[in-house]
Amino acid sequence: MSTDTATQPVGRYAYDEVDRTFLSQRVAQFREQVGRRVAGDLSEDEFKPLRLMNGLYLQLHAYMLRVAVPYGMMGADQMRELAHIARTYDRDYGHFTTRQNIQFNWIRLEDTPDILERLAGVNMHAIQTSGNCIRNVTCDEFAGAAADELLDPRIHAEILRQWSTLHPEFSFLPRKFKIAISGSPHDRVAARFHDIGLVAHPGPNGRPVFDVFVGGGLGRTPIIGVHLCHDLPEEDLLAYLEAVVRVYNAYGRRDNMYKARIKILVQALGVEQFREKVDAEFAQMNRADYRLEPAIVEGIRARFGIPDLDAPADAAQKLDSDRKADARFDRWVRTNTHAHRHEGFISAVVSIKPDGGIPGDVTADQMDLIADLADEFSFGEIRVTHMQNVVLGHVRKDRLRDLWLRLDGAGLGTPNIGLVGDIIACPGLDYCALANARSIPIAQKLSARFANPELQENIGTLRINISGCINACGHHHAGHIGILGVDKRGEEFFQLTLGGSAENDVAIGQIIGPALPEDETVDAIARLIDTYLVLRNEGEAFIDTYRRLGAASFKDAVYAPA
Amino acid sequence: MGARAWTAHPFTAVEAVTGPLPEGISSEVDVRNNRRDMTGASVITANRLLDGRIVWLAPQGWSEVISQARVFDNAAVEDAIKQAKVAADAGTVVGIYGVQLDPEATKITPLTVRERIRAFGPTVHPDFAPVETPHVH
Amino acid sequence: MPLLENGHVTEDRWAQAIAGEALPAGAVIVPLERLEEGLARPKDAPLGVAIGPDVDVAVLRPALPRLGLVAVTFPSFRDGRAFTQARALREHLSFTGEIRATGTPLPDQYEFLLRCGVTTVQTDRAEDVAVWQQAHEIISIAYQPSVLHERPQGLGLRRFLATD
Ligand code: HEM
Ligand code: SF4
Repeated sequence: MSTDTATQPVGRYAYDEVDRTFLSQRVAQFREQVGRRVAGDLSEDEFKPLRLMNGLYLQLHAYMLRVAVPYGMMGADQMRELAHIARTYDRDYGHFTTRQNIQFNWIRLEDTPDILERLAGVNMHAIQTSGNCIRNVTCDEFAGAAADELLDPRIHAEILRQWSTLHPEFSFLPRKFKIAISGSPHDRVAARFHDIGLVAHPGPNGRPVFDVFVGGGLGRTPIIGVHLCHDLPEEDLLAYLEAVVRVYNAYGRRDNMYKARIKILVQALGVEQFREKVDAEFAQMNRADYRLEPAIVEGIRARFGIPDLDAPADAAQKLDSDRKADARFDRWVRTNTHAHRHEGFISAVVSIKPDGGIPGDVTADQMDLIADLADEFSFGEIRVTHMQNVVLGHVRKDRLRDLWLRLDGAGLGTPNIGLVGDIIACPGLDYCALANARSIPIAQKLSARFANPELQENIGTLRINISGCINACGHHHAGHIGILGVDKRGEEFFQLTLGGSAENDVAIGQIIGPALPEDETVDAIARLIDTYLVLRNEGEAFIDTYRRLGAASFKDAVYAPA
Repeated sequence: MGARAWTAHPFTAVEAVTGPLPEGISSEVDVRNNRRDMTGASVITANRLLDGRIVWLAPQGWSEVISQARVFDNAAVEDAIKQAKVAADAGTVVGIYGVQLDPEATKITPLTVRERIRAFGPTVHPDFAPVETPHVH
Repeated sequence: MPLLENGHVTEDRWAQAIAGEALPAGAVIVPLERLEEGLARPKDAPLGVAIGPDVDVAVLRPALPRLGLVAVTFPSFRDGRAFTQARALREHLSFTGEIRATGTPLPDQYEFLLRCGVTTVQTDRAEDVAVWQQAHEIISIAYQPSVLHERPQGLGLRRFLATD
């Protein structure tokens, strides 16, 4: 079922000669900048924004390179290149993040231009994965496959990727700027926790229209984005986004970096005044210059490969009988798949959260295996999710069991998607220079403790999100149970928040009480879950019980004497 | 954990109530990294420019292992940091700062979890601990 | 560094107003506070104005027909407000005179400056002009419209940048 991904990759934009020329020029530019830095012509202060715009951080142990996976889509060939980079330039693994990027933790500055050149060889880059610019545009991991989708957001995600690439006006914003886009009524992109969240649906004339949310974010000031514009026509999408970002660039605070995100500006002005400024800018723009003509959109769409969805008539039946015959497989299908728009297909989620493992970490060998499986089972197409998992989008139902057998044999068949074990965790103090506490060991202990799949299924949907500091890379505010690492005089403590959500029922978790020492945190969470199991009504998930009863019912469990 | 008599060792620098400074904003070293007691001892650390690896100021040059580090009395460490920042090889490293040591440890061991992870590697990957080599770079 | 125009060194025909002194007779750049004073000079005396990054360029609208130059400034290369000011001068106010970038932009920002409508650069930085020239030539493709109206390349919003 493999396709020629070199010409028309399924699910993403096919680069042409011009795009490749651009990437190689960009690599040459960075090589020259590294040269100036090493020669001492650029100070660290001056070099830092340049390397950040190429995804290169200086972390705790070494440089860290963050490679973009635009709208979460990549091909088997690209995954193999990442495996090669992990083996050659790093320590045999990479880390998938919640923003659909992959990070390498042990990179040398001197190797970076070569690595970027290799990435460019498979049409990948690290452009704008950091810095105060428009970052990698994120997207629904089931885009173009989900049964519940109204339109495929990836075409517009690609247009936004291109538009924001080395944008002359918006590369030195007050602070980073994150855009997410979805085409489903079920929010799987945390649209209202982004600087701009776009939710697309078909408009009256058949062209897409967009609901625009602005000023959401996590970090030290978690704020739910406000609805700025209803049904924005496609042709005005770029003009309107330019207007929003211009207002931000002109008025966003630059005196205090903790108040520099657009969310603070929107809150300070109030949504009405902010909208007035955007509308005023929009009104005086030379709109013809920015018009997104249907022909432009269709030109980009034509460069997306389309999977040839052809399944035997009895594919669904075969899956049913496979499930009846194998209880373990049946469980995995229940937890790790998502309904496809085609009745003979299904989307499979590969959990990168093995029991007791490091959330989001994949070894080079696993990358190669995922690439092979993508070629065999899903048109060479791979998606990375904002939950740090991997999705094979279009798997024929009658072949799902074969796929599962291969995954299971390689330790990639953990049936825990959406359950206790599916923990989001940032790198934390083990890797991150900004961290207060370690996130990963807490995630490991929790997922080991709740490894029993029956127990996990009994507990039901539960999102546990862990951040190692207030920057909230692990989305702790958006977790049903959020865990935030804090530093008390050089020792690690953890603060718990309850009731957050990044989905349609979006909410910011509330702090339940004083932070706990590291060695008490996992026990406290176990007691929290036990309390829920006692208090829940029939059919209630943790979040439902919490919302019905409030924090008070859970507080005693957390602070009970050990 | 938690048993140490912290009140007997007031920090000279303010405690990090505002949290860490994200990259890309300022090259100033995060105050958390550089805080230390009035008394006690410290070592000096940085990351090497070319490969980013953690290094420790040794009697000669910078070493990849903390056991080779030169130990300074806290009264002398500020001056030593200043000197390191203007030394001939200062351009080969970035982000020079001092690290408070644990007075109760037998080997050279930083006091904070963060600096222990820097010195001995990520706790989730014992296999990546810096390798003890006899020579100094 | 000397004054730079399109990657080449060029002669500066503008004088700066000196604080506390009367304005000279020829081409002069005045701070925004002295704009009235500048406008009071004879109509054919070339006049430029220097604005800070917090100024809304719309305040220049009435004076613009008399202005030959607007100087925008980068107090730090990280402060990108001058990009938006330059672009607004070109796009909203149809200003066709010289836009000069001052302060400390990086050579690596040169292409961004040009594409936002800046024509000349006068920085306090020490690099060789060649570094700026190279920064201008190294990338030949852009993915979004700009006030320079570059030649579209056909696909999407892509266009080729002029590199002379
Ligand atoms: C290890 C190096 C990393 C550093 C230095 C870093 C730095 C930061 C900082 C400073 C913020 C706060 C921004 C602000 O509010 O102004 C932030 C937010 C965020 N980061 Fe990271 N991060 C890192 C890794 C990650 C990883 C691994 C993920 C995904 C697992 C991630 C995803 C996010 C997200 C989703 C947010 C919050 C959303 C928002 O408000 O923008 N980051 N990061
Ligand atoms: S939340 Fe804090 S500790 Fe975790 S990756 Fe982000 S900056 Fe680092």
